[in-house]
Amino acid sequence: MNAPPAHLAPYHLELLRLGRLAGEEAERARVHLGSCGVCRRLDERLHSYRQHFEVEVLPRTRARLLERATARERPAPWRRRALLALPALAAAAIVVLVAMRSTPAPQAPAASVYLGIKGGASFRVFQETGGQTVAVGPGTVLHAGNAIRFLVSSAYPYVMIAGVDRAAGTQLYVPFRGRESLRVEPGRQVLPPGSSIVLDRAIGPERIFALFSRRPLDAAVVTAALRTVARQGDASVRSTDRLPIEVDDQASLLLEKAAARP
Amino acid sequence: VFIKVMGRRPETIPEPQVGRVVELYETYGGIVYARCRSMLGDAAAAEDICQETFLRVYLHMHSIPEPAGVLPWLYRIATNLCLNAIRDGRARPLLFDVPPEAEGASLEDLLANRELAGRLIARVSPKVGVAAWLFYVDGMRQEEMAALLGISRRAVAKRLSQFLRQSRKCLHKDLS
Repeated sequence: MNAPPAHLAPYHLELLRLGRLAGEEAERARVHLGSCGVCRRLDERLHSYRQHFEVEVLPRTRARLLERATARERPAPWRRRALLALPALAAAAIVVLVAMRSTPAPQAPAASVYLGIKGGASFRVFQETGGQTVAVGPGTVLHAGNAIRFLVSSAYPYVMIAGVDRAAGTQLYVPFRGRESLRVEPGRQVLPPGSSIVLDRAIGPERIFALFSRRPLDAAVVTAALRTVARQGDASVRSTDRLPIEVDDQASLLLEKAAARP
Repeated sequence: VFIKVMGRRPETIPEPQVGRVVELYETYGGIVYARCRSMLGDAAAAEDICQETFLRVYLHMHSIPEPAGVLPWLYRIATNLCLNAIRDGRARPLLFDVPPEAEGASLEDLLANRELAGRLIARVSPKVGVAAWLFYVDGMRQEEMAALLGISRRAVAKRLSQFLRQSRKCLHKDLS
């Protein structure tokens, strides 16, 4: 029987990422990955697919999976009545699983792009490019026309996401040009719902803030705080990672915007 | 709140199954989706088969393996379902980085061409097809395949031999 190609199999790339390969095997795999373009491309492609699942597919299909599962099940008559309560139970289960899971999902991106906040809230930014979804880390360079979306997770019922840069000033992304925070369901949410933010032509640093609260925040208050940052220039945009306003939780991410690619 | 809600449920509701399948979907859905997408290319088909994988899980919760065995179990189901979709013509295989065709007379040498292997795999029996995909397309070693498939290395070798036999028949049929 022929020896297979001397590359890492997709399954082993997953095991390597999850830390499930034994020491020597893991080391060999890491060394190979560092020197093999074919395997690196495969690894990057798998990473992109996993992120696409988390941002695009999972939020949209979680409820559908449960619907399909319960619809498929053909329980005995004595079970049918009991199963009528499944949708409510499923909703409760989703909420709890998101809130109570003690260990991060293995497909979670690297810590550098995962902005944890006290109370278990999180804020992540993703770029959508060429049908793929890529996590954006602090200081990532993006270009005019790039589309981004946000993944937030919080126990608080209100969220507002806004950006500040020196050139364009302030932008309220979620809710887009709204007057107060958006009410969201507990658990993971991809925002804005059903659309993306397309970056404008302003170049230089932009900091995006996610503000979580028990009560809706007034957009005017947030905008005023952002303007103060913008007036102080690029250095202030880069260094101000929290807004001095009353919120229950907040996080921010710094992006560097460059001119559009030719 | 969750505990209170659960406490009120009648015992007949399969509550752990519902919770468990959601948990598995959130934990392993990305890996399963990536597997389907890298086998099929098409995002919609990958999404559909990823869901189908977890529906299978839901219907077979009684046989869910121990935690360490969950990922290989899901991976096997997803691979099998993708090959079924390719076999039924619902999806096409996506074969990246196809190496140059091997210069050799034997079928095994020809199978170094992953495109040819992919086409033949879609025409053989399901169990044999999964083994062949893991070996010829994914590039796994036989001992690695044995661990993933939960069978002996001898059984892996047998399935690969069956693949060669079935592939020869397919090729002879095509030629005649």
